[in-house]
Amino acid sequence: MKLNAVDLTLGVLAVTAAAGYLYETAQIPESLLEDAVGARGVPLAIGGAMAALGALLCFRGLLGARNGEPSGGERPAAASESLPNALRPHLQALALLGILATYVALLPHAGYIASTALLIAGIAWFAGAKRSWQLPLIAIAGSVFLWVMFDPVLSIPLPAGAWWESR
Amino acid sequence: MEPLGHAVHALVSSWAIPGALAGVLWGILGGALPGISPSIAMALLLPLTYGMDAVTAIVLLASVYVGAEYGGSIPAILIRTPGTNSASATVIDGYEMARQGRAGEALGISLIAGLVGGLFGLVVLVAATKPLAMVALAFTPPAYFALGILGLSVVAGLSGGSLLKGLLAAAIGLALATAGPDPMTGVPRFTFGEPDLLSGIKPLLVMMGLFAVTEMLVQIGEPPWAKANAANARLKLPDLRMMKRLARPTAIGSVIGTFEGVTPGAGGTIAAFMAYSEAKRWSNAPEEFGKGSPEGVAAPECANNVVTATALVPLLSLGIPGSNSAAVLLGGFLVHGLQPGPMLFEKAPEVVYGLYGGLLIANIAMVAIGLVILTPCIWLVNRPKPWLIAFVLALVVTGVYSVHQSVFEVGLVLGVGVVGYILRACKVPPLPMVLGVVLGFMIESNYRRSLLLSGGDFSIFYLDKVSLGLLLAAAALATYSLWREFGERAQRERVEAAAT
Repeated sequence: MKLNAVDLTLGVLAVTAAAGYLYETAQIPESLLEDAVGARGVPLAIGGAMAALGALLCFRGLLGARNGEPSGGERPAAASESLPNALRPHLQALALLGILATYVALLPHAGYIASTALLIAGIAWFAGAKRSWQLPLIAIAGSVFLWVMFDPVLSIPLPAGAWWESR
Repeated sequence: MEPLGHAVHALVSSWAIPGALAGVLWGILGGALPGISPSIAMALLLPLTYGMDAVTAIVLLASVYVGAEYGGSIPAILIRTPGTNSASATVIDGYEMARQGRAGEALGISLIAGLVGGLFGLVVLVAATKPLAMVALAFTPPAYFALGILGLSVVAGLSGGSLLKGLLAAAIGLALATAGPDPMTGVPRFTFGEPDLLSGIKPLLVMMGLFAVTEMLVQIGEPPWAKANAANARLKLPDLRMMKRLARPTAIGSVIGTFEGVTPGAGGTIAAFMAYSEAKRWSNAPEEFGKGSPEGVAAPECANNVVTATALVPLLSLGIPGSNSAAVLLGGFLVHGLQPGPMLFEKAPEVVYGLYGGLLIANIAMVAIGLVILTPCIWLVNRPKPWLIAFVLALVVTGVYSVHQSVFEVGLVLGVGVVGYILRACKVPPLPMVLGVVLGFMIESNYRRSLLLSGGDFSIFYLDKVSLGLLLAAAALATYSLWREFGERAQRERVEAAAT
């Protein structure tokens, strides 16, 4: 019997998430103003529903059924397509996420203009933009343009950067 | 005449007219870029609307939707790559016309059919929304709870073939909506000691993550799209003879767009394909379809533009977003402290009538801007994809930061983007999750308020006539969606069995 890996993975993820959610629900403090349902009532129902749906997805995944899955739209892995090739888009997404996470960590320290210029250059470089002198130039120009649009024009303060402020 | 007065006043006393023009321009450019759906183009502008008055913000966002539907047809016709999902049906005959050197003619037909569809949809929107909202004026807490359940019942129709996955997505959305203060007691829930979570997770952040970040995470692994050739793309509007020929497919597109638009979960893509199919069935020259038929461009383009207005009927009257774009527009209302639904006509009539007037201007502006913007669109489509991804993400993080000057919220949006990516990889539809986030608070607070009023007696939900009616409607809608889903599944299995 062939497993349905997508349903099984999703089901396991859902049950795990539901367990974490229900654990956190149990940590909600009680209030003196508590009504009949209480602050935990609705989250308990949602967590329970999520766990039940996850369990059903696991069951369906184990049965290997394709219930309800449209046959179109899903790109079947070609026989010649090796596993690394099939994983490639996910690894690229992960790497892009890494660049974005670095940006989030850098933003309060390096400030908006420097971090955003690095973000633009980093993503464009990683996504395959032509490596030339134009790459840093466009990134810096783009970052400055966005800063001008938001900070002086729309009066939305963007972080100057702790590194530069402390000097 | 009073509504007309409201509309004119709302438009002239705000920046709504420039907002409509800017929205259409942004929408056409965004729609022309493959990978930027109307909802993404709208979501990118959402943080910028914080500083605007409500009328300007809503008109701007709705105009982006209008412009994006035409913009999506440009790459569909020129490079066989639909800029938006609902332009997929336009590819069939639009690209064939381009191959025959008639790209300009196809673009002109798309523009005019879109105008007819947009204006027709607007008439339906104006006629249908107020009566529905009037019924909803008699709402009590149990009725509001039942309305939330009615909103959730459309999940079955939004599940893209798997009800289990749709329900799971809705549960995730509802779970996210429980973060922040408890609606009755104010006790903090799921805040993990993080001050930024004390006021809950804003639907805006979920939308930015699910629509924009997820899409870019997907796009990075996709191959680059083809280049457009500007040489044979000189826009040509249809002459009188052609307009006569297009009357029937645009009428078909208008009717189908109306029904699909007001049905939550159906949307512009289904409307466009159905309109194409019906236009072919009723055509005098069905053999031309697929070989560059102008009717094959007009019917889907008219239908998807009708949907831009009719999809707002359930949103404005009941507060239920039936599509991604309607959900982002709902985000725009929430940003300005407005809850679409029964009370909107009472509390902020100028916004509703301003939206009507703005949509009228946006549709007319679409033709004027569409006539001159083709060259910049082709230039934009031909930009390298890596730069597009880099600038879209830079705009997303800047926009999110600008809302509350919070780095935590930027991280939260990226986290939601990752959840969206995993869900998409597992073929889980995102819209039920958005529905869960936007309806969660309404459902929980009114459920508990009702039980407080009745002393814990559940009969309050069926003794209240409006509540009972809405719960029955929810049951009927869910049953209809399930019946449709099982019907489609059986048909699919029959086709697969016949093929093997």
